Amino acid sequence: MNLKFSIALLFSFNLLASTANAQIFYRGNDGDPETMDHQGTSTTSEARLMDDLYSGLVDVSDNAKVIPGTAERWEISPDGETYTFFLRADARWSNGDKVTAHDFVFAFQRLMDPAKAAKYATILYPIKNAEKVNTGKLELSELGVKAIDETTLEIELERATPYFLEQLTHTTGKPLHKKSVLALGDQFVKPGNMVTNGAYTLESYTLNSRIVMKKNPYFFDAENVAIEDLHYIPFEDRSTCVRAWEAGEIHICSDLPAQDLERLAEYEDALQVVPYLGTYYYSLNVEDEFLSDPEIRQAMSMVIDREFLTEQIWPGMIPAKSLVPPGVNNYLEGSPKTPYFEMSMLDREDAAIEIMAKKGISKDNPVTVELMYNSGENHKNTATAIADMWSEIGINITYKIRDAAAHYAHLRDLGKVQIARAGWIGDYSDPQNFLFLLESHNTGFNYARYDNPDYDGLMLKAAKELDLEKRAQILSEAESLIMRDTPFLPIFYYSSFTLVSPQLENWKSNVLNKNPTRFLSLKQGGAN
Amino acid sequence: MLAYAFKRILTIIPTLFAIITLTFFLMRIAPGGPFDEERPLAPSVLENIRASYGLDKPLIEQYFTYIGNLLKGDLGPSFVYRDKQVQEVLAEGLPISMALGGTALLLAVIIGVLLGSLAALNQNKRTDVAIVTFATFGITTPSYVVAPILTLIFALTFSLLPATGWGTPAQMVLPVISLALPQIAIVTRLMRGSMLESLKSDHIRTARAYGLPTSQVVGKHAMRSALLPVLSYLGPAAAGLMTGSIVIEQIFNLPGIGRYFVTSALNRDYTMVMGTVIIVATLVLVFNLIVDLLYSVLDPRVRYD
Repeated sequence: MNLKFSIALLFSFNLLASTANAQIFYRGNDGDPETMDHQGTSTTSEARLMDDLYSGLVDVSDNAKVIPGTAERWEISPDGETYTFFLRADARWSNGDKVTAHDFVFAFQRLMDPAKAAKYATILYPIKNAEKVNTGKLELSELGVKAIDETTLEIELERATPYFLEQLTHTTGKPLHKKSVLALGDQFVKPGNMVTNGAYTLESYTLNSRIVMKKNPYFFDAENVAIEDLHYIPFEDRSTCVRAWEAGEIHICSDLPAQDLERLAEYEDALQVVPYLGTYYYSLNVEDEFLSDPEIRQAMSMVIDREFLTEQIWPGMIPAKSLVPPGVNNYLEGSPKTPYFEMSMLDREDAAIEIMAKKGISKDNPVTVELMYNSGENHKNTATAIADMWSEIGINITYKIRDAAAHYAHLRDLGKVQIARAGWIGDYSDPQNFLFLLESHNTGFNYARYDNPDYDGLMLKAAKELDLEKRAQILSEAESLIMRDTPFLPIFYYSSFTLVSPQLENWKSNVLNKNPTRFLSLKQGGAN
Repeated sequence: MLAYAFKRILTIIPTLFAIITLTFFLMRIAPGGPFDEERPLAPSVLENIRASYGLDKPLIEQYFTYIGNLLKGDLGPSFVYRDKQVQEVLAEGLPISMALGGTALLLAVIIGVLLGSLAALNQNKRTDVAIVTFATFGITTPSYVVAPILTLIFALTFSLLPATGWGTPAQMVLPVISLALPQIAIVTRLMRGSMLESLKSDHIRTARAYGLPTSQVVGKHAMRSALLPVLSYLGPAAAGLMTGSIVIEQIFNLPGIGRYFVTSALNRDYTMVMGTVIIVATLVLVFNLIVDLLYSVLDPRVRYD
């Protein structure tokens, strides 16, 4: 209690003393965006900015559930292939213009324009003809997005997609002010030029220093937006972010160094550690001669002591027992149970040794396999620990270490690989967004080269199933296949770590790590 | 001397050109590209992006395009900050790095020369021992140790100075001290050594024999030759300081350009790598030229005709 009081005091002195008139929300962020053009963004830190600047057809709530955004309601056709969105009559851009269905049509067509090279266009491939338009096989006008009138938008899908609304909350689903984008070209993102329809507008942007936003008076829900001034401060170095928070210079520190978690626990409720929609895994190349045996792959998974790894190397993370992390939407029962996770670590090790013995492999007669990972202290420690665990079942590991760009280029180009480290953070909250990684045709992501027609069949069946309960069962069946075959070896689920000032109210930590500023407020401090 | 300066400037141009060419091709040998990340892009999208940056063209063609644009003063778009041209990014950060580095450099020269001379004049006395101890400490303690300790004391414990950020004079104090400390130490040691040597040289002995006051002997005659080694060190050091330090920038969250030397290489931000290399190379060449010219001012034996 004492401590909390002293933090609060610190904040009152440092923050409020300098801002006697207006309260400014200083929001630490993981870094600066690659671009302020939301169609070029891809990361969580960029999504934070865009969620504050733009309101899509649907938005996320204070705990990251899908809520009506610029569309006040929508209808879904019985076959699930057509969505009709009805826009709010009072939806306006920050310059006072009406937000129309044409702005959305324009934005979606621009997203799919091959010349614009939007990184995450694939997210909205469920839209009819999207892939063909994006690869230049069809004209932009063939995209399945139509303005019926000023306030009615119709989106046709390739096929029913039960997670389509979740996908629309992604930054790629946000509109653009057609007039200014057409007039200004790529300069439309500059402060002074940028027209937005969200709770905030862009005031100024100094690279590596701060992005200043002001409340948008034209936002449809402006009367419920408490914070008037918002400064995003980018931090490349997480320890610096913590020091800035401790010095009372920022209200939020959005990513924390794992080694500091124990010390930061003294801040009690200010430290928020919550499950995050992501999984850290090793990919096992099933085309490799040795790794082609699913029993061997399973033995390799059984013998990994994930509790040890999360306690010693990745504090705050959660040992993984499936590829799809818990807390994901549309997965009613969650991931299927894999039997060996019910066993004790010692039993698991014995069982794994037995499997390997049948193959003629043991500690005395080991095989050598190469493990590839991207450089980083924790990745190294993880690899070393796992190599030690594998040595018990007769697998000797050699390492191949590259920096991140070279590592992922190698995986992407399907270079020679046996075991490779990778991770996946969900773009939208649906199990499909994890399970699709292992579909045989997904060459860019399926590092394991897993090719199982049964699995592909189940994924297709799930895509066609409109009943969410039945669909969840099919997906669960699919996941049990990959847990049995173990092309990916899940190690832990990510958690998100945030330091939240006691001055900030209504912060609701959630699995998507999304907290739009429009729902937050600052306590009136003593200095005011 | 003007003719000499002009000749030197002419040699800078081919040197720069060689550096640019070498960097351009070396950078491309590194595996991976600017769009290889943890979350891979769909092949069709990657193709679109590569084409939009001209990366799908033959390397030699890309090289000539780059050189052509460079001659027009266009460093190209950054691959990581896609709304900005490399020259915009550098123009935003360079003044900050130069302000920070310039202040640190000034401190280093003034304090270092003073302390070094003081130590030399009091050789083996208590003052000398204290200064040499300080200098040894300064050289051996890296800034990534000094900076967080200073922050802990002055920002977190006593709340006297801000821990991060840029813009106010108060925000300059801790980064400048952290950056200057090792430089002060190096200049002090250099100055002490050269001053000792200079005090023993024949022309100083002659000056003393003529009965010139000590202040004049040291301040005018000994100082001039003692400054030469310091000057040789300052040339490249100034270029290094002015272009920022990734350590200091990260610890204090400063928007300088030091970070790009590391991040642009890791991100394969090709155009940014070129931009930073051009800046550093130019500064090193220019500062070396300045140092050489100053030599002739300080040392009567050096003449450029």
